[in-house]
Amino acid sequence: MALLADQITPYAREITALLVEDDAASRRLVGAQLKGVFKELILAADGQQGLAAFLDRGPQIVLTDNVMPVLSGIAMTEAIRRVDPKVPIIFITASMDRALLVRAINLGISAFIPKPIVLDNLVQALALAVGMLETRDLQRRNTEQELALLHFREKYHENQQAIAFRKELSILENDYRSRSFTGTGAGRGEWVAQALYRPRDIMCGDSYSLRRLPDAGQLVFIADAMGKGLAAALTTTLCVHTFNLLVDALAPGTRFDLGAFVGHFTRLMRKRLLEDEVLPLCLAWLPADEAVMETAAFGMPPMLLRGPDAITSVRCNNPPLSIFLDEFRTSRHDLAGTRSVLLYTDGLNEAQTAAGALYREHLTPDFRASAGLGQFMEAFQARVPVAEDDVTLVLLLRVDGRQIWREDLVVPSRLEQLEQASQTVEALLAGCRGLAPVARGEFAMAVREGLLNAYEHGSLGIDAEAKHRLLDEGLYFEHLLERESAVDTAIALRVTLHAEGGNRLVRVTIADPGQGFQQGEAGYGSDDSMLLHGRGLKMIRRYSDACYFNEEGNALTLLKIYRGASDAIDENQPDPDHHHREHQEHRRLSGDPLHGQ
Amino acid sequence: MVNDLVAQGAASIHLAILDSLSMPSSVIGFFVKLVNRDKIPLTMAIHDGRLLELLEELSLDRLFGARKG
Repeated sequence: MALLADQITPYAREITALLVEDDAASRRLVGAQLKGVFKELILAADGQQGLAAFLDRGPQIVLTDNVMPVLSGIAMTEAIRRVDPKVPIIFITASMDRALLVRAINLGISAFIPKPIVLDNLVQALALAVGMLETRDLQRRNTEQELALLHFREKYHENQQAIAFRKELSILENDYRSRSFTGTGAGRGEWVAQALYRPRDIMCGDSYSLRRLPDAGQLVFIADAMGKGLAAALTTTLCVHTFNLLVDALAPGTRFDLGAFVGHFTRLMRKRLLEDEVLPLCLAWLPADEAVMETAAFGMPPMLLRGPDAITSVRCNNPPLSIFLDEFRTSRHDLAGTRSVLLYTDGLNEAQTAAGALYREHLTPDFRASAGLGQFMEAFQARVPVAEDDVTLVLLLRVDGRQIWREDLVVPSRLEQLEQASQTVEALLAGCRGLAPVARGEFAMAVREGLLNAYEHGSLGIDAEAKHRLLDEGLYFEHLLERESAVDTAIALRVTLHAEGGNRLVRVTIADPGQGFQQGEAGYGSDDSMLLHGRGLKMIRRYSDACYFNEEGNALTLLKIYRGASDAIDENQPDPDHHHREHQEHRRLSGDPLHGQ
Repeated sequence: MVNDLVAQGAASIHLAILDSLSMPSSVIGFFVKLVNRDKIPLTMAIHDGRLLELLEELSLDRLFGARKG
């Protein structure tokens, strides 16, 4: 009997077999022959028992007689095939007529063994069936392994790409993500910078940086490396990193020199470009002591300057950077009357509109009609539903227009007072003609978030970690009331409306008595993440056109920009005393509540 | 095709661009190399005003000898 086991592949000992035979002597004989061949051998006395055992135990191979009481072998096979079309079935039968043979073949019978059983026939039939099972199992395992490997590779690459993208973002430095900038020169004014970086792929050819210079000027950088994908990403990463290193290395106390900087920068970059590679980029310098902008633009689309009456398109002053370019020019532009400046990569103006035109045809009119980045991008997306290239743009926006009215409130650090203050702001916003109801509601929500942040963090000193813990424990509200009764602090709130060319600008500044925070040196998106709860900051950024902190980090300013009503009724409406009277209940301190902020 | 002309020793190349409204940066890079490294003067007769405008905007019109076709 050991002879049979030795002649069948060892794989048989991993499977269970079912032997269906109504003749007890034959069942015992075959059962004895198969002893040790399989992991387990199930015995059944007729087709019905065999079917029940098959359904119950799930053997991987079936040996069956045909002529049996209750249910024949062929009828049992038909029932098995309805649930398992593949299991090998070996017929052991004394007679086989033609019709039965055809029926059995059509049911996919693996082999036939005539009775009386000859050992060689049994070995041959089992070897064939077990070999088929082994091959099938091997294929399944291989497929599973390949799928697992593919899954692993996919996850690996996804992970690598995500890390690479985070790295790319970390190299884009924006010193003005959360602060405005001013200068000492006459007419220099206060500005905010709005940046949009929308890569088409995880790694792309666009990059930008906005840097604060040691002499308090600003330097804007934007680049669009040739081509797409990894090669472009490598060039642009090198480019923006080189730019940032050179800015970091600028000596304190010396006046910035754009020509010298660009000369140094382009010499370094030319070493890294291929012969047929071009690199469009632009550097724009805003000196602190003059209301001018000096630029060195290399093969970039024209920047747009919005003046009080018209938009000026300023073409680049150099071809794109290549290893062959050894001279360059810089240009100066007067910013005294300029209200905004738009720098962008060609993913914007070369984008194809839904109507089949290039967006460049709409760029200037849309820029003219838009009050800020949000409105401008809405206009762009309405015309270009799917941008096929990376889009990066930097919008510099002047925010110190003529003040139309101002409202100062001092809000005691109490929850119910916050609600009252929020309603006051909403009432003020409702008086801003031209500010659409949806935008007004969203901006009011941003102000609420800002007030809540000043109350929780600035006034009561609750940090994000403690807030999460108390929320988890369901004790947050009680803790707020307990804390607020222990402090005697107030939040200063200033709301002003300004006229900015044809725009109106609502500015809400919320100053709390807290310690503030240090704006970090880290790059994109991480400069103020420690201050506000993530969702709150996202909401503020989403629903305001710009937001920024003072140097100490304890005064947050939110801006909303909109096109002024044509009848300019806002300018005739200012009656600051009206607001003062109406909201007298908030005033507790005299003088300027934002003094020193 | 332009490569074939260069290989055949063309002293200068004139391109008539009939229906393109834009030019990929890789093509720009190729032409920049052609003019600067291979020293082959290039002229272009451009029929679509948008492409001519693009080359002017990118300060490439002189380098590529671009004019209205």
